[in-house]
Amino acid sequence: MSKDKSIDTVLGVFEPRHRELLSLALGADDSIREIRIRKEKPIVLVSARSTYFLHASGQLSCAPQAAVVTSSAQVESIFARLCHYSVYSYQQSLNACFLTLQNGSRVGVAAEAVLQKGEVAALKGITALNFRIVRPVQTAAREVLEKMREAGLPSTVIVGAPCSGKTTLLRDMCRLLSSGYAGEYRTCCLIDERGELAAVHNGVAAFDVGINTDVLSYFPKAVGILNALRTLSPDWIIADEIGSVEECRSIVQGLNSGVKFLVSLHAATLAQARQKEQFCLLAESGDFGAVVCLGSGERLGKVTDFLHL
Amino acid sequence: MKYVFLVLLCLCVMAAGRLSATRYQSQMKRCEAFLLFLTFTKTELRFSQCTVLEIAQKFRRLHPGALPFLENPSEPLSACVKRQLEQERILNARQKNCISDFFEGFGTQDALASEQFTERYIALFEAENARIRQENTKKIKLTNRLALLLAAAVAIVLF
Repeated sequence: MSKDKSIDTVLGVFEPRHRELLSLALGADDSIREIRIRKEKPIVLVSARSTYFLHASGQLSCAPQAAVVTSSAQVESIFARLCHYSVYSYQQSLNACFLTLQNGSRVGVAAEAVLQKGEVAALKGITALNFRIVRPVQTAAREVLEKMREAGLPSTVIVGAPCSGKTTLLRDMCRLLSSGYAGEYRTCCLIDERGELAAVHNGVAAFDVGINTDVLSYFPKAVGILNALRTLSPDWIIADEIGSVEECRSIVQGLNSGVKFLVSLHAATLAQARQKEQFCLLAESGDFGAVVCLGSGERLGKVTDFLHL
Repeated sequence: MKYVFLVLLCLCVMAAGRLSATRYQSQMKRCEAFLLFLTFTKTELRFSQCTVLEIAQKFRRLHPGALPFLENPSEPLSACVKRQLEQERILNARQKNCISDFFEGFGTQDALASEQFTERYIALFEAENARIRQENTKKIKLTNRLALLLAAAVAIVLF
């Protein structure tokens, strides 16, 4: 998906005046990756280099004075448009404080939780929305796969800080594995819990995830992995942001069934990843053969380390 | 001639009653179609949870022409329906307001609340349909009796 189309999708939910100003601002800085709006607060734009405020002239400003402020009504209106005027339709993802646009862009939602029996049943009082802009990035997928191939294409963990390019790399690797990398069309199953990896809408994926890939959208990862193992006969299962021990257990179950995994984990460095119980569980399984570390900031999307486990 | 005149008079009054009943029947048909839409919506809420626009588009494909104000649905559906209802001639003002209120409120809450919201309107329109049916029957009976009374009165006067 081109950057322009991605930006158009995001800007499409804003009212015309804000849309015009944001368009000017995004044109001025290619590295802007987030647009944050809050009720009765200035519009904030976050780039790889800095945090800016949207000035009334459409320019990027380092100070909030004379910045464009979004009113409560405007935020509510944008939220209604994001949900296509059907809040119930996005209930599951809203309870996890996010929405996914048709192009796969994620929108973080800040709100008050309505609890029932200790679990989030609904959201009320939306206070802020954080739009992540999807940008086409040249990934090191082929380079990583070459290194993996030398080690016999083992199950692999990708480790990186938020916004380091883990999702993009996973997607690209899935595409290559599924579409004939090294002469083989592997059956891949993508567990797309947040709808960001494939961005399936009306049964069609917005991103190219490969010719031989099945996508399970919005399934909790643990459930999706087990369903895939039972019904889709995958060679590879790809999942993003392994966060819970339960998810790791279902991965270990899959490994015991002979399926390979390509997963990602939030951690700025390998040392940080080793502190996490999830990483230890995966490493101790004996079937994960490699770790790929991604850089952030200036080294966004770049592989900083490739280690054999 | 007098008898012919009497019979014609009766027939005219009865025809007037029937014409008026046709309006009620059209209203009833429209309300029944909206009731069908509401039950369809409730089912979609439960099983697919697709957006309100998608529900309207699915309904239109299954029942083309049943609800003219849903023929060209667009987002936001509440505003679109409100616009289309302005051209609606069969429903009365109260029914149009009710439909408009439904689309204003639908989609603003979670699935359970939306289902309960839809059920309230199903009950409302079931009651409305029953009321129209009753009104229709009453009107036909009234005009028939009126026709006979008029004929009797004229007969007394003439004879």
